[in-house]
Formats: sequence, C-alpha cells, structure tokens
Amino acid sequence: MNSFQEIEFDEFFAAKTLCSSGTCPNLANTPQIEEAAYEHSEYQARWSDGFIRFIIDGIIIQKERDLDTPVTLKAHSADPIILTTESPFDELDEKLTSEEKIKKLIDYVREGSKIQFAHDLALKLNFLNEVVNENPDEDSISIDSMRNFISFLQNTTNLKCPNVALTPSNEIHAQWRTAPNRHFAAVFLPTGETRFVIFTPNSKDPEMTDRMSGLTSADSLLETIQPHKVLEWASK
Amino acid sequence: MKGDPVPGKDHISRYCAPKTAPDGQPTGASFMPRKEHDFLSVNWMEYFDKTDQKAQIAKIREHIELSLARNGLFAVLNVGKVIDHIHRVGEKKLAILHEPTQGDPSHSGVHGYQHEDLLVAELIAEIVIEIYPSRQT
Repeated sequence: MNSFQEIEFDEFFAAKTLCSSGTCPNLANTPQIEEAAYEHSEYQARWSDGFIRFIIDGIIIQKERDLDTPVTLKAHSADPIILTTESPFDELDEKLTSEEKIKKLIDYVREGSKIQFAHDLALKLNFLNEVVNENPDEDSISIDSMRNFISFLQNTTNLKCPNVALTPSNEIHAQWRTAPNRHFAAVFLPTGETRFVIFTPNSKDPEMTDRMSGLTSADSLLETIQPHKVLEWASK
Repeated sequence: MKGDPVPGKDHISRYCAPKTAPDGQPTGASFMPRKEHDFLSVNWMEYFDKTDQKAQIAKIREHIELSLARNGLFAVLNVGKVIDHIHRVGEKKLAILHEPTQGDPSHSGVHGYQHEDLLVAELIAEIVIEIYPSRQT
C-alpha cells in the first residue's frame, strides 16, 4: 500500500491555506508555490509518515514533519526546507543510459520547465551534448550537475540566458557577462555545491573591480551573490 | 629543455574544445586543468617560429597530440602577462614550463593551480589576446 496519504488540491489556494495555517509557514513562502499560484501550474501535495511534499513541475519541495505532532493544519516547527530537483521520470529511468537521461533532461527543460529562456537553453544544452558525443573517449555530461543547474534556474526568476559550457569533467559552467567588470560564472558540481566567481565594480570606486570566488550550495547561490549586485547585469 | 621556464615575452596557445567555448569565445572552462592533471597543457608558440603567429599555429596544429574538433579554437596568451595577472589579482604564483613530448616538441604546462581554482581559470580567460580556429580554413 502506498504510504503516502495523497491530497490533490483543485485550487492552489487550498494548498496555500494549508501552508499558511501554521503547519508549514516556510512552505507558504517558497517561490515555486507562489509562482504556481500565478501560473496555475499542476501540483500535488503529499503527506507521508514523516514529510510533506509539494511536487510542482517535477520539483520536489520537501519538509520534515514532527512525528509526535498529529497531522493537522496547525502547530508545526519551521525546520529548514530541503529542496531537491528531480525530474518526474527519475524513479522510472533506472535502466536508461546516461545519454538517454541527458536527452530527457533537455526535453524537460524545453517542454516542462518554467525557465523563461527554455528554448534557447535547450538548444545550448543539446549542442554541448552533441559535441561531447562526437568524441568516443568522452563521458556524458554530468547528470547531477545539469540537474542542479536547472534547479538553480527554475528557482531564480528573471535571469538572462547564460552562456553555457562544460568543464573538463563535463560539469555545467554557466556565465553571465556583460563587461570585464560585470562577470559572474558558476560551476555546478554533481554534489550540489557550486563554485562561483564574481567580477563586479567596487561600490566605493566604480573604476576598481572587486573579484571574489567561493563555494556554496546550489540552493544558496542566489542569496550568496545578491549582495554583489550580480542580478543588475545577470537578470532582465 | 624539459622543465625550463618559457620566456615571459613569448606566447602560449591553449586548444579550447568546443564544449568549453561553445559560443566561439574561450570561457573559464577552457582554462581549467583536468582533475587528473598537475598542469594546464599549452603550446609554446615561439618554439617553432619567432615572429609569424599564423605559422606558429600551423606548426602547433601539425604536432599537437589531440584530435582537433571542427569548432574548436586556439587561444593565445602572453606568458608574462599570465604570470603577472594571476599573481597580482589571483594571488597565485604560476610557472609556465616547457614540457616537450616526443610528438609535440612545443608542449608546455601552466603549473601552480588545480581543477578547482575557478578564479584562476576565469582570470586567464579574460587576458586572451588572439583566437585562431582549430583547423586551417
């Protein structure tokens, strides 16, 4: 028997009410759920014994529930949200080759994702996949790296389409650059971490360029880069 | 001789596979050493010819021990500028050393950084001075 007690909401606002009732206040503020309200996405919310999960366009937003607390719409501690990106076919596709999984991920970007520049991005990823496949000695594009990259883009609205390349290990290298001192590059690692570099005008002396680099989780990347005004040139 | 520094006034070229430069311009990914390598592979341009850059690239195409993709490119860098720029901005001391192989006598290496040093790779990408196609047009 399925251990999930599945609740399908006819309207987003039922989900929103559930979240904002105090049971999961953080979920109510999660951008994907907010976005779903405006774009009428299909979504599901599921309770299991230990978790509540929202599944919105293949993105799973999961929050742990205190088992001592009855399943109720009230009184729940605000634990950190665990955000993962899984395409809807992940569990089904154990038998697919890496190449087939990459193609499915690209199809998902093109047809199923909420990314504003989905078509352009899918073309770029497809080109990279083709050049990697031309060389029989090359491994395929790192699936987990691509998944983390897509998750970042889906969670960050209004970004411009980046230049996308691959590292020697076939991880995604994304770059937003409009000038030598307006440069943001990130490598999405399969582990969920992201290496990034920012070149940005110094806040006191715009003639000077601040250059910084770091390592953070893919889901913290946006808040890490925001103080450095990256979105001034990387977003629309 | 193997291990000698390449003179600072000379130039090196880096072959950039299409996956690292898909838009026809090198990116930081073009200058990331492979995880299993201790240095970034490059070619010493003046090894073959002292002045003519096109002739140098032609010789490098002839000897390089890689299969050159149709959409790949060679990025040209000044040795002294690479070392100075990374030292000043990236706070790393690089060394560019001649690492000839039997088939590729101009083969050289940029030592002093690893695959993980994204900042160094991005800093090198911003001081590329010339680009040539990977194959003769």
